[in-house]
Amino acid sequence: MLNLGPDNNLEFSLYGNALDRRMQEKDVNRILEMAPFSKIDASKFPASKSLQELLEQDARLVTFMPGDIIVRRGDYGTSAFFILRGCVRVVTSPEIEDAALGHTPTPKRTHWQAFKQLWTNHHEPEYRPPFKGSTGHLQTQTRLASDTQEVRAYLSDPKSVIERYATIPIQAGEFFGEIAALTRTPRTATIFAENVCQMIEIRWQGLRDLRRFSTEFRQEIDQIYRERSLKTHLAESSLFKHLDVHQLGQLVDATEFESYGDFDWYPEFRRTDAARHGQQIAKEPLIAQEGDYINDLLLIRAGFARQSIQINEGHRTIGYLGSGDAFGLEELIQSTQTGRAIALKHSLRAVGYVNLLRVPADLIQELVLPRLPSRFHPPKVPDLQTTSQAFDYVESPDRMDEGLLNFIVGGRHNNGTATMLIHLNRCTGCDDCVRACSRAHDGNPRFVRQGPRHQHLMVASACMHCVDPVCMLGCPTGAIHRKEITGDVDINPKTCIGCSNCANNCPYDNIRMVEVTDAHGEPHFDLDTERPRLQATKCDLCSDQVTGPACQYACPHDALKRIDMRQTQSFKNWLQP
Amino acid sequence: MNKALFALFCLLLSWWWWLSLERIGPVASLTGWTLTGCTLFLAAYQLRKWLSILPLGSAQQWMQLHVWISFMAAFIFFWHTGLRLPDGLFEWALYSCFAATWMSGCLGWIVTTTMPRRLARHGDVIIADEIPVIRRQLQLAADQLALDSVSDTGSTTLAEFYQRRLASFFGKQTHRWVHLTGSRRVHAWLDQEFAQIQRFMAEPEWKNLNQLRELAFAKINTDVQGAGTWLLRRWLFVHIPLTHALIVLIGFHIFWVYLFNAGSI
Amino acid sequence: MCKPSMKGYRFICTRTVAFGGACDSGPFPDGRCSVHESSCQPVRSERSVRRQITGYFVITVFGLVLAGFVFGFGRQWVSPGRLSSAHGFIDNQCASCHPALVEGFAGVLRHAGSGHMNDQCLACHDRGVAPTFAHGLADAKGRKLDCVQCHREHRGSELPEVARTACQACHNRHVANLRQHPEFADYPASPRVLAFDHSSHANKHFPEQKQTFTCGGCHQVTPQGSVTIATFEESCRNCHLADVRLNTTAGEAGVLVWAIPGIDLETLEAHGYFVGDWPTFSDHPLTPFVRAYLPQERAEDLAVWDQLDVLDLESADKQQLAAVQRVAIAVKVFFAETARSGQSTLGDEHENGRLFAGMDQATWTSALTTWFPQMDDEWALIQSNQPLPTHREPAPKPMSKEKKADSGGDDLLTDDLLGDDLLSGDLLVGEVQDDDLFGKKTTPNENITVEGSAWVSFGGWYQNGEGLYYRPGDHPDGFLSAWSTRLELDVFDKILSAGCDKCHLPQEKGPRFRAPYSGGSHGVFTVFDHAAHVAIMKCDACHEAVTDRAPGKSSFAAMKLDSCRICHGAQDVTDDCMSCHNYHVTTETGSTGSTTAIASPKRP
Repeated sequence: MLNLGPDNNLEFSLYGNALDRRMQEKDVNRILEMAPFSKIDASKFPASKSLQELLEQDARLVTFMPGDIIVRRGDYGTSAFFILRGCVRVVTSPEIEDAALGHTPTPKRTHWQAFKQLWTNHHEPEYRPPFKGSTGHLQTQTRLASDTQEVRAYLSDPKSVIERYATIPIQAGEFFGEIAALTRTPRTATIFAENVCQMIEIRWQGLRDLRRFSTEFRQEIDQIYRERSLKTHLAESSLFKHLDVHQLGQLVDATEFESYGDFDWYPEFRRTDAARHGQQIAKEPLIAQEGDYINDLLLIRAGFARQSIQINEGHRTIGYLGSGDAFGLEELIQSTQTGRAIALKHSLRAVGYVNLLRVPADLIQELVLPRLPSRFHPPKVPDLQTTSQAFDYVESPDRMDEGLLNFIVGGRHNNGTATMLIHLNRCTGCDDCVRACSRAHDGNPRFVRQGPRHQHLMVASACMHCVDPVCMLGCPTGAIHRKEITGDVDINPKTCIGCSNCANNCPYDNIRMVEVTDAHGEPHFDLDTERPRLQATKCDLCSDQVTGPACQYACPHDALKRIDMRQTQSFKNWLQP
Repeated sequence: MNKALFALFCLLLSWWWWLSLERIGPVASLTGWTLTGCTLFLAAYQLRKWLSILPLGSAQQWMQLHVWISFMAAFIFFWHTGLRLPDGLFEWALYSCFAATWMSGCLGWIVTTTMPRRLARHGDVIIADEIPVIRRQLQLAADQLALDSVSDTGSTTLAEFYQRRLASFFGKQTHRWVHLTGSRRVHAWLDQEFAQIQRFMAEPEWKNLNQLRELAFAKINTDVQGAGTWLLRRWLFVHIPLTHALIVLIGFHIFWVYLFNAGSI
Repeated sequence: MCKPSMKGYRFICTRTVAFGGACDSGPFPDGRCSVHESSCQPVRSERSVRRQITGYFVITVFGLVLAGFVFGFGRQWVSPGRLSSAHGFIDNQCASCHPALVEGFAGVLRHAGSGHMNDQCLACHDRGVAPTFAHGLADAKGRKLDCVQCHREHRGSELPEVARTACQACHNRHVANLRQHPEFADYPASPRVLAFDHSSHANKHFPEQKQTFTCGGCHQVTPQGSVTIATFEESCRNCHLADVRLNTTAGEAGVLVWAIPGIDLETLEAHGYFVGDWPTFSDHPLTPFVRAYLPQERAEDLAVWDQLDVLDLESADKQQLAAVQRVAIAVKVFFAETARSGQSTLGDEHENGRLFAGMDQATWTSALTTWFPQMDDEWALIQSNQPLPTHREPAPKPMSKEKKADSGGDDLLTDDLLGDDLLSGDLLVGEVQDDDLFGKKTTPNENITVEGSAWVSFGGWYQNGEGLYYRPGDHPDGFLSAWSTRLELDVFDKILSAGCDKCHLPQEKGPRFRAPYSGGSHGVFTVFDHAAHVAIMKCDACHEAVTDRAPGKSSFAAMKLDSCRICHGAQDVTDDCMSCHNYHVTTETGSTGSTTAIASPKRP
């Protein structure tokens, strides 16, 4: 089952109301004549959203020129592609990545280079060296697509890339990119057009609805998912590490995958008054209801879910689950031990959007639990029969303060892996952090020492390096990317074209568009538009500095810390007054 | 990490102690040089801030050492001076400069460890640069409210009250030292003022009065934050110049002492 | 920032939405932006102001201090502290100790490192010959110390005490006070000077004499804190005078001083080495007293002499025999010359006066006549460097029959004692003057029957056979004292084994006779004020006499630190090093401790 989010009629939506307004009825008809779409039973679709309308809204025809990069490994994409004509290549050779995709790795500075910053930093704000045209077959360049008028990165010499690197062709009549689109996970490989390709691009809403109303389509997509990814995903979970291949295969066959909530949670989140986030618990899509008997073990694949219990009429937050967490394991273990069915002790709700896997309970009890090492057993939850027991449980001192939890989850700060937190009981306002940041970034501070607060905790406006980096959706050149080793989100100034997509997408307003200047403080002008060039800037976690994050390193009072919000214990330790 | 740092510190201290036992006769040169070393290290904290891009240890560790070593320096200072007051003018200058630097640092330490908590507890923390802006906004809002109240209610009581009693309060940072002591005298004064004027007002006017009251207490918070941030920043205006002067004086002192070392002239 | 762009025939504003969008007025027709940017007027940041203040402050301080040193020169500016009251008379006159200051700041710079404060201190204070060495002792270790390393000036009116820890810098650093002080392993110190046993005197000898034994009987504490020991005359004489006079029952009474050594004259002469007349019955060794007067050039011969058994020269070679001959002649010359010229020929007056201890000419010449009857003839040969003749037995003198009969018993005894050797000698030499063995012939008056040794029982000289003996008369005895410093210690000890060593213990070095160690207030390295201590405690609180003592060891048990610790370190009594020990040691004068000798205060 797929949960329908609120209608996506939002001005901040990436593509507006329809994916492409140029989509004509004849185009839709053309699509419907083709193989997988012709099999879809249009009568199953509701009158409010017919198959015809769906395709008109959520799909478009696009043409890629030879060398155009269609998807990049590591990117977050929201659409799937079906090839009508032509051939694309999937790059399997790893060497191509960094150089070709604009993900230039920034090596650590040496101590001397770090020291040199003292006098080599520029006086002008936002200095950038002159932008040069690139050469070489691996360099990415950008060009405007003739049909969609979008900027695309391309490989200047796809033939030599095919010669040099291992690639797999995907021919006309096949889907690709559907898994990343449906599950909101990074693209697993780079794909570029080998020759002129025509494709149908279906955005995730359309994909979701097709899958919902068309059994044939769902079976086909699910089959692809099982074949290509599910096994890997399950094997990654620590709960299944001890299973053999055969047992894992059994699990794969039985597992369902589901999405809850809204992919595009962030535009609405941005409009919502922060104070009202907490009241929205009841409105969040319910995944599992407290008190229901347990049928499946839920494994969170992507996104966040709120664990809550109901006390009287209110829902009180117990915690939040993120990628890799399991829900219902404790009840399953108890049920196995006592031999009777145990009801769920918490409710689970999608915060924003959640993608999860459902593994049937009987399989878990049969295959997994008997040999599950005890270190993976979750902490025991007491019986919460009475209200006072529930209160005791919620307010027990080893839990995080509920108000703080609501602040974190409501403000989606749990998304951060390096959230900049400021302890207001310790911060003297000396601005050493800002100065250090500025020194580490050529004289330009990359954060603002101000932000939402809860009691003595302030979340400063610095890139949190999100688990779910929505900023990366829709970057046309792949300039904003996630580093493979550290997971930091970084922007490559050499490929950023200043389109502002990432800045507009960031729910926390932590990406700033700046006019870049040359050595004399004059702006760089775009040769085509004659406008001053903009570039997106944000905290890069000082990935090239020897000190690590300069802000944290420069704080004399332990008042500023970059915290991975998934590490609740270290967070709680630091938070002590 | 801090434990390791503390252990290192203790090790250095005991090594130094051992050295001092090895000495023949007075330990003035040992304590003197140690004191010089301490002072230079303490002053190097500023240098460390300037070199924030080098991995010289985190600012927090430096801060810890800064505090410990400054206390050690005070102890060595008394050892070095033998608990006597100086005689010559220059010695007086050196002595008082050290004492003033140390005490200003101590004040700063107390302020930086307690003030942020006090400010955060009092109300919204406002960053220093925004304080004048917010004060001005509050003043404009209060002016407007006073004007509006005349047209709203037809009574000039609130406007006159504002003009006579509160206009100057809204106009600028007030009661800095009162707020720094943590006294709630200003709060009490405002409470009293508002309670008094309320008795002369008809009920329809209360709404505007309450709004004005909110603005006034927001202004108090601005003042408290202003006073706190003022102290948080201004103590360094004493500490840092004194530190630099102290280094100069120490330089002269060492030069002079070695000229006369063992009566060599 | 905006750069208007040409579109068609007119310029349009290209400012991005992110920066406010296109302006209303648009660019000028010539393409310039219509928005006039007023030039920036920066305001100093807080940090910048702080830097400014810091800079001004530092420059001001630097300038003032420099000016103070260069121009406002004087004690008010640079004084590092007032002088102590002892040096108060030079307070305010820095140049008296820092001479370079006469020339002001420039002089200070010019003369830096040229002088030394030690010179200034020692100009007034006399600290012996090696004042800058540790403890004032220029010994092999020779660690040097400056005065100011312990003595700090410019510390106010009281010259500050030397730091408690100053000693530990060189010495064991674990002894910072009395509590950590090692026990007195062997203190009071050995070796002893006198063999006085406190325990036996207290428990045995005094009770026997019906005397009471008290510490005060012999010891007095002086006001300076030292302890005196009563002299021999005051305390010992009553009982020990007899010991002094060497009234021993066994052997000869007195010390054999001047004697003719016995030699194997027969072998000597058989090989043709003649020494003239020689008392053949002498069996005395060459006494150290005689030896001391033999000429220097006989030293080698004496060494040969020492290696030989001069009473049996059968196995000696010719050279050895010649050496023996030369020594014998030298002995003979000594006796003869002294007899002829008197004491003065042998050395200076002071020396020989004591070394001869009132020896009279009669005794000397009488003895010489007995030993060398042909001396007058031989003397002429010696004077003319001619070889001496062979030994000739003197012509027997007429002797009284009574005397012979009286001494008959003695003869028998002697015969028994001497045995065959003497008899065979008799056979060889013919007539034997038996009586000479006992010196009865030396007594001129045959009616006097008292023996020589008994005759001088209150001290003096007597002759017996081939030797002149000395008996001390009283204590101290000038003759033995004089010889004790003249002779080697071990040689002298052999002489004293006659009886002096009952009290005078053998010494490793130094004079044989010396005053016993007394409890001084100032030792070399230590200070102990007995006066202050006996006021509150008894002697035996620290000095515990022991009965069984090793020879040469103190008759007191080693003192125990616990008896010090009762007060020191407890009860607010100091227990640091300087309360018992001296730093400044001056061995010659004994001037130590806190007393400071000021040679000649120089007033500038």
